[in-house]
Amino acid sequence: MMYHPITWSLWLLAALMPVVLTKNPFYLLVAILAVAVNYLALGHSSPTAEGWKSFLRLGLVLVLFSMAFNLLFVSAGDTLLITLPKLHWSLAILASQPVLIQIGGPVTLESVVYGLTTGLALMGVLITFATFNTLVDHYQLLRSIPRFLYQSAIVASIGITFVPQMVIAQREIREAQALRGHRFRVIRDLPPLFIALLAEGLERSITLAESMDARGFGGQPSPASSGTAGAHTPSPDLLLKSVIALALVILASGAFALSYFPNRAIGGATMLIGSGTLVVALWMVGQGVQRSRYRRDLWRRRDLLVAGASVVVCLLIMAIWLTDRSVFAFYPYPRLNWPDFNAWIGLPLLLLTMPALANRLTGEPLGELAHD
Amino acid sequence: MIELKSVTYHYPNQTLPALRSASLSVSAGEFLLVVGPSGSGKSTLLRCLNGLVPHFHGGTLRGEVSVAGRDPVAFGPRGMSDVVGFVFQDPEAQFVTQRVEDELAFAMENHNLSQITMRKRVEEVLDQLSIAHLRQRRVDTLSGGERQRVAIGSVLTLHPSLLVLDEPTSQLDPQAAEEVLTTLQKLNEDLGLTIVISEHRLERVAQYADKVCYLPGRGQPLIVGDPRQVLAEAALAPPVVRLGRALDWQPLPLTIKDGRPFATDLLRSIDQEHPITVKSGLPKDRDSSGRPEALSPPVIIADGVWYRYNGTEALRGVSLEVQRGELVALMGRNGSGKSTLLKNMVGLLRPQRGKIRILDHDMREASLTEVTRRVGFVPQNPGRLLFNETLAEELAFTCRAHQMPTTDTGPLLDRLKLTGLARAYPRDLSAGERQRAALAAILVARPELLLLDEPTRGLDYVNKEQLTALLNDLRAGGVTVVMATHDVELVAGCADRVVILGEGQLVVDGPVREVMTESMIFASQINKLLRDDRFLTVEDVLGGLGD
Repeated sequence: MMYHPITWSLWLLAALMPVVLTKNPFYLLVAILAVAVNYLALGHSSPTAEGWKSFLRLGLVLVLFSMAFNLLFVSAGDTLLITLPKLHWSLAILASQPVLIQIGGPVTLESVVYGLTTGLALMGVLITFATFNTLVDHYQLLRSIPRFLYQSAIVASIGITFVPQMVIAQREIREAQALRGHRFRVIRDLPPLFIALLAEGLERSITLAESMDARGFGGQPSPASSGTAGAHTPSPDLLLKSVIALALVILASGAFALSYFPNRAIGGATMLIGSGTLVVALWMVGQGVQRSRYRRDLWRRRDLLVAGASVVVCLLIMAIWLTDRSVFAFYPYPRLNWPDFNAWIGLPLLLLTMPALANRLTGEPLGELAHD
Repeated sequence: MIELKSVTYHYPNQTLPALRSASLSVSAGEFLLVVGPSGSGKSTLLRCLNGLVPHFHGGTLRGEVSVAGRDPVAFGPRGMSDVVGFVFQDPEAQFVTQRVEDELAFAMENHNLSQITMRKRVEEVLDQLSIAHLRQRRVDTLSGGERQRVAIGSVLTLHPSLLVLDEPTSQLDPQAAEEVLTTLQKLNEDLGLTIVISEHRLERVAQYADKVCYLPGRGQPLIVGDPRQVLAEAALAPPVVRLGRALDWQPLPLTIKDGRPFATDLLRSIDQEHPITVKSGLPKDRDSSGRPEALSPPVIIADGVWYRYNGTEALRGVSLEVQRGELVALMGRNGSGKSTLLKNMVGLLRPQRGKIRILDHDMREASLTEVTRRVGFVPQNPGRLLFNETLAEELAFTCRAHQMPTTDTGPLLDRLKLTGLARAYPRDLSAGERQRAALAAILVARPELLLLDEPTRGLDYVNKEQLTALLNDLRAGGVTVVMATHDVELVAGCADRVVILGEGQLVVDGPVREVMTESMIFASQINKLLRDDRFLTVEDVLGGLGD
């Protein structure tokens, strides 16, 4: 990993803020491009690059879908483009309030633009995570996580690496099946692909789980390397399991209360108690597991640059959000206005390209990544 | 070190035991080779040694197991992890982290070792396995052999007293397998590490082993003993051993070196006693007869084919012709372009420059549907072809997809030795059966051309022999076969012609006897032993003597 986990985490935060908070298509576009530059500069040779590209494709599909959805279902706005044939039903779910569903009708420029910006925001989130995922060494990130979260985090990390592997397997399976004359025309043709993929995924997971178990993952309470017979322990005891179960029950009932009782305070408090119990339980698990860390990550000058740039972006966006939210807002209805673009907001977003630049600015060797 | 006393184990919901009163004893520093047909319980036996059986898989285990003074049944795999290192078959599926160095440290972190100890041990292991140059690499960029060495390293850092490996080379090509096996031999000799390994390539490991444990399968008792003794009886044996057994050579040679003295005598006696019978006694001489010489136009014409994958040139101007009924072996190092050439022949990839004609399709534009009706392709991982509930449905599916009438599949299944498995779930089959099931699913469409990518990967000798017989059978029926393979014995047993690729270019193209006898690497064991182009297989020699 080229940067310290903390640096990457700060960068992720900074990159997510604009795509989550703003609806302005210009700022969104600048942020997305700035994020993508990092992938192009650092990640395109990584073996998970294929995963990034599929996220990009997914993002584009989302943009199109969001535009099509708005085009078909929303007829508000003043600038009429064309009028499609109209279909509508009235659904009487509740007799008192019939729900009117309408497809087609007038298509307005406003609805298309609104769909586009919504799609862009979704794509921004996807691209940011995809870039982070491609460039960051999950395991190194994992090490900087507090010990009591480690067990759950490693599961997540394996999940993350599993996906790109499955993308590759999926392509190979599809090829193999095409050779047997299998064609994908309708949804009905999907199960064979899915079954083969599932079977392969399961086989892999079993090997991985065995391999982790055989290397002592998941608990060596006493100094096991001493090689004494005392090294053996039972799995987390019954008490702990009950505490976790209890915490989950409390959480669930809190969520239930929140949605069905008018008084939000009760539900909120219940959920808070539930989460608290869960954290305590996980902390107890963490105490039972003694783990050491192989190495401390180095904090280099380039980390300072990237972290600094990320903090600047975060602070700027936060400041604007707290003072004048309308700067980020963009609402095309009823009549489309050209969205504002303020260079003093747009240009600082370019600081998100810092991971691609920092090592060149400091002249520090890339080291590890050079091998990829 | 290891003591098994009449161990019987049932997997959950199984009436037949996977192991039946198995007894075994291994002392410290020994190298034990576990052999047996697939499905005979090798993996189960190995998993008893660190408690994965029964802890991970459930089921019931009776009898006594003791490994390094501990009881794996009581300790479980985690409790055994610091004395037993376990390496798995699939080099891709066993890594937790992304960097080599982190992977080496993973087990030590789980055992809460101090940072100073960890650093020291990582350095040691990197040097011991000669993988220091890989330390910063991402594991997904490593070759198969490198991955398996890293997997070995990742358990060595705990300083185990026993290393257990479950078919560590079955997914690797011969060079990579050699890397791994040499590493193991070195660990055994330099460190006195006890090693238990299950392995198909007996010709590679038999000479290192102090003891061989043979599992005949079907609940029959284990045979444990000196490699020579056990291999003299076992059904699975490398060609040199089979020849030695047939000609009653004593002591039984395990390697070509051991066999050399016998070979000289054998050649002399053949030339003195049956000089003429041998020369004329080669009815199976595939190079000169057996194929209708250019009566019909070639099945495959490749003309200056180029193919480039993101930046690397996989094929650089390959030209090749294959006649109807020929069986051609594509050989060469990994990455030499064998698979790419095969994929270009079926239409999964399209030549970027040059052209390929297959039957009468121009592969630059022919549709995959049309081509696959006449050309069968079995990829490296045959399991990926299979996705139906039963084998019978797989066959019916192929017929439907190619709009062919559903025929009686009984004779085909008989020929592939799959009789009685028509109702079986294809993914539950053993490696050899899975391979044949995939072949059945392809052959039911009666392809004129069959393309095979690494057909013997993961197969034992018995399965390889069955495949060799089947390919000979197909060729006799007029099917043209092109296979990419590293397996010299398979090539010796059935190919007409060998084409060797190197860096995307055609390096050698010639009759199998000529190519093998001239090559150091691409030669079968019998050919290496006798260095005579009349003899590639055990059958060649015995056939020559028989007349």
